[in-house]
Amino acid sequence: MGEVLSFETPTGRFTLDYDRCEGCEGYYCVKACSLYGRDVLRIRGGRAVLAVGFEEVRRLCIECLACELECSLRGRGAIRLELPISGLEG
Amino acid sequence: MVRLYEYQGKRLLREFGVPTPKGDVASSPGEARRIAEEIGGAVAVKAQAWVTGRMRAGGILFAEDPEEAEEAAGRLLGSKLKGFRVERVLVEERLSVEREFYAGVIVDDSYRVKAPTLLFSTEGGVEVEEIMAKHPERLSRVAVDILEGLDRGDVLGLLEGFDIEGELQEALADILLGLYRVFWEYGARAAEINPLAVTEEGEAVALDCRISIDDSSVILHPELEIEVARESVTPPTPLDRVAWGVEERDYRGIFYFMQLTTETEGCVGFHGIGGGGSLVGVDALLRAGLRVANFADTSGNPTASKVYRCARIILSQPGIHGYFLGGACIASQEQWYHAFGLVKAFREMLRDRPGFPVVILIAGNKEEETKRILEEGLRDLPIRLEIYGREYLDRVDYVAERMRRMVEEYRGELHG
Repeated sequence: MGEVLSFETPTGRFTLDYDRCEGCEGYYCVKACSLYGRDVLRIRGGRAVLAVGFEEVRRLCIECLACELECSLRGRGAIRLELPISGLEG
Repeated sequence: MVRLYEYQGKRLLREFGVPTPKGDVASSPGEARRIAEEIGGAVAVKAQAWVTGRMRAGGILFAEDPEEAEEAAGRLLGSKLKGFRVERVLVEERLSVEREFYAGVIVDDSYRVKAPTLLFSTEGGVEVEEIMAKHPERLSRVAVDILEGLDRGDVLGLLEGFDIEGELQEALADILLGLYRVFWEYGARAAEINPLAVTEEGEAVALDCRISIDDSSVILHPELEIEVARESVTPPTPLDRVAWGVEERDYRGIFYFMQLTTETEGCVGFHGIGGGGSLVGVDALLRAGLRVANFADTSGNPTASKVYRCARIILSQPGIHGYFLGGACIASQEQWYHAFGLVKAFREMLRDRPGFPVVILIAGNKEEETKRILEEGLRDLPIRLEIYGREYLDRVDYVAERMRRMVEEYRGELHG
């Protein structure tokens, strides 16, 4: 994985692999965050970036999971949301 | 609300000056013997279990010496008492009891009262509901103004009319005040001493107690070492603890989970939305002849991440033969968050379970969009999937029957 956008959400971690994202023109993650989430993503320089600071996103992101699914179904599958469950392996 | 074991309740009572028999808790026969040696003389060995009627069920044994105490503990520990596995026993001095009373503090939420209520009866040793039904004249009560509190005058007034005077009256008043303080200081929902015994020596002692702590009070009292701040008839399983860990650290919406059995092979994993709707869903599965591995409810506008964790936990139960989302209610929350949570969990866990049955009944706000997300998100999974909406809310038995048939087909494939 090359360049990534990675930030902590209230209970997990969001990671976007820009190498995989390259060339996507649908920006489905940004649209999903606007429709289902709290607009923490925006488009800048032709790619999805954080619209707020890293501390703010920990508070604002509602972990709707829409960005991951929309990217997987319609984009490049570049987003991964890790949501650990303490005590549950695998 | 969370039930305390008898030994835990007695620790709280002693903190506020309520006498209890000499004794301590043991988790091995050897420990029981050591405690009996310290006490000296005859002892009672009492299974610590959240059940009533322990004596009749064989959960309380008497021992004349430490060796018998060790043997009694050996019989009780690890046994099942009314379905409850006994992991500890309370070893206490055996007392000679002359009279038995009842004392309790409950929350009376009836329209006219809406206050903590102190109860006292000369009919100890029986359930308070039985006293109310058969001998209401032997039960007195006083509602407590939570701003004014309870004072000695209130308590002495409660004891009037009973044949109790002098030192005993004063001792009982102290105990009732102590009991109320336990109720208040620990945020209890109910606190009972039953029986409140008077020994042949004239001493008033809390022979047994039942105390329940409000879920919301648990966080204020870490010293109680309550693992899971939820009501249950059995101690939490390892998976119950995992699920509680999710809920304990995340206040966004509700996630309730309880395993109904640890022998989950062949069971269906259950996931409800809303407490009442969830009960409807479980009942329908049981009527359809299915075994249910767990009860779970995500509601109160939970985040998709919480729904995801719920689904992951349910699916982690070994050998389950289906997943039933029984959201038998029209929810005002946007149901698409349930869709996103389920889709993520299923995509991670069901890709390698071809033919696995999934039935989803979901209704409410953003229902059509929710169903679209589910259909689209799960379409490339090799599972059996049926999705139902609000038009099936009064046909939950039909939906459960569909689950049953799909499970039957799946089992046929599994067994070749």
